[in-house]
Amino acid sequence: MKNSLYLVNIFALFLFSSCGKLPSSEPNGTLIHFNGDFENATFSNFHYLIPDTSINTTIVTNPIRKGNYALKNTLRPDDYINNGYRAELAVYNCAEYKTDVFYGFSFLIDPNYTDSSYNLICQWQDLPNYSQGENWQPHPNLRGSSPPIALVYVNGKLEIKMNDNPQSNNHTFLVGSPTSILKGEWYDVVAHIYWNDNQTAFLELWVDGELKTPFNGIDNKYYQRNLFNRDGNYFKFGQYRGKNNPVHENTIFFDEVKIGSSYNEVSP
Amino acid sequence: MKKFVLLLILILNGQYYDAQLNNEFKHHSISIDFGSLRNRYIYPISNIRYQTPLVRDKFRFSSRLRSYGTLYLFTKDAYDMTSSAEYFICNNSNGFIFSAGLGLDWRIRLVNDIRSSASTSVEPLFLLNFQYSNSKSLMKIPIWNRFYTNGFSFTILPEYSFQLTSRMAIFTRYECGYLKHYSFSNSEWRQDLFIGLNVSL
Repeated sequence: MKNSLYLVNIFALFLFSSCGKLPSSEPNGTLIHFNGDFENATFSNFHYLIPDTSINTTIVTNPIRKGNYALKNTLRPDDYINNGYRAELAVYNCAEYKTDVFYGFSFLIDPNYTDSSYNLICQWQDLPNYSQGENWQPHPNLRGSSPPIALVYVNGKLEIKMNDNPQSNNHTFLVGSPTSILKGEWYDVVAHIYWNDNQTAFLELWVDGELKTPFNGIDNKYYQRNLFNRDGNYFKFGQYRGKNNPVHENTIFFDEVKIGSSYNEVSP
Repeated sequence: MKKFVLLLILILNGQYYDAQLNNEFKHHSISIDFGSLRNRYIYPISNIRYQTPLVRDKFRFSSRLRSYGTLYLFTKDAYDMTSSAEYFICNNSNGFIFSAGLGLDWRIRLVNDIRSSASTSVEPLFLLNFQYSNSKSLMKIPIWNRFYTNGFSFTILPEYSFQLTSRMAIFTRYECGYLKHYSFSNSEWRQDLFIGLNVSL
């Protein structure tokens, strides 16, 4: 009898000894409300993905979209960091599994911008599935993929590019028609994204208040899986050229970077 | 001649069968395997596993170290360590064997990234195992059940191994996991695939 009691106690102790969380993200996570309008003239809200903070990212008073300050983002031919030519600022934990989020920002292509090759001015990059053991630099690195969603400036046009293949960095596809972009003018971008790892995920995107995602018969939501795993994505903006190094020094100005739960909250 | 060939096949089969059972129950064994094909992409994972021979004819202990993000067993970022004890209900006469056991699954997460919510923890593990051996091969179908503070998971790990020599076998293992939150209706399926080598000492 005593032995049986011991066994029952040991079994109960064993059963309730679980102390960790299920390695699968919970849906409907907390939505962050982010304001990056540069009006405090610092980058304290952002994470840096840039080689030199004194050159790649500076606060300017002209040109500005709103308020008194904007960001001047410069990418030079030798600005290579984290496996790519880039000068980006990032916001983490803002694209969680099964959340509905609005993102807004304004950008201006400098009149002296000269390169004609692709340049990602913003992207929602996937993450390793940390909870299931993954990390950034597996060895050997058997996968390298384009971000699930990116906005690409190329040769005077703005393109919405998506990727559904986590194994590939050259199978991106165009969503909607490219938007013509004039240098020296401000453009306001608002993206409405529902994040999921199945086909209920969608993207809805406006440039200067005009919908750019194609009409699907009911609305302009473009339904396409946008998470490679349930650990979510994160938001970056600035300039990213991958392994394709810039020929010249190029500058893009950014302002009114916001994340929230409605169009009006994030629109400049 | 036909009788001789038949007899030879029977003897060889018997030797292999004996070898399978001997390897399974009478020797310490070490296996190394690597993969994997995750749900939608290839991601390197490597495992090293140690099993004791049967203790008192009924028990076996095993331990597996899984390294994430490498095919070379060593990583600075993430390991799983699974230790278990199994109780065997053996029926050697027809090749079918059933066992049940308990274990602990340690998730060791060392990655230092603000974007990561992964944390180190240990969870209890219940396991059932069905296996069948024939002349040259061994088929195992373990089922692992883990419990977490906010959910549970079932993983089925069918493994097929082919005896190369009396002490060495190659194997392939498919792992299919079902993860369920207590509080939410959604669940997640995970898949991994491995190939490896088992050596009986």
